Amino acid sequence: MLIQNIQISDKTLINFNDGLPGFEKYSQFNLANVKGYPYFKVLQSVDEPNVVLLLLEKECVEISKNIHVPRTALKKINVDYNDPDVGYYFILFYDKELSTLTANLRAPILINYNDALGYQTILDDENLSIHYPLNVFKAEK
Amino acid sequence: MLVLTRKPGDKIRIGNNILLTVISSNFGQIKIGIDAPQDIHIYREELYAKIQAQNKSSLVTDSISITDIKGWFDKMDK
Repeated sequence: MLIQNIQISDKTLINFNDGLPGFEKYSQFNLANVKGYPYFKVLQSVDEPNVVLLLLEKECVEISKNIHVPRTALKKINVDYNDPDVGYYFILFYDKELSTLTANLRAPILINYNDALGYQTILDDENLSIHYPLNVFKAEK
Repeated sequence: MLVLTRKPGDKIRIGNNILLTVISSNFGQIKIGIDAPQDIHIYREELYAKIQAQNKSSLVTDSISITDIKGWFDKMDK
């Protein structure tokens, strides 16, 4: 099936009890895989289907190895450090005019797959960019 | 908006579980302590507003197709 022209599979319902910043009232989201592109996910609001976000797995961004997510944020989705089945993602921003793709490292999305809970936390570290350019990732490769 | 005037050492209770303490006030800055349950997040508002704005800007629309971003995928090698 398609979400905004994106072919998806394996839709799973995730509860974001706090919504997302900017979409605080939307607590039900579908998380789906992107067909053919393993490191990406699509997040779509059940309440407002036009609210669609593209996510990238944290591991794809080299400098994200240094990112520390505080325990209080993990508790929001009922997990602790080193719990399995926890996903960390960055929301992608694609600027069609400039053809630039950036990742929001400052506010990652946390998913507890076992309990179907999600939360977007905002990290304290000012060095983490809201607009981290992904061509920097290319250069590191 | 409820407006209260406090001096250093004074506190404000919000609901049953949140306590603000005015710790000090110097050179146009106020130090505020916040006691709240761990499940309540507390952010500087200007940072929260930035994330709100970025989330809204990041919405995927029909005019953006995954093929637009195809070039980036090929470089995403673990």
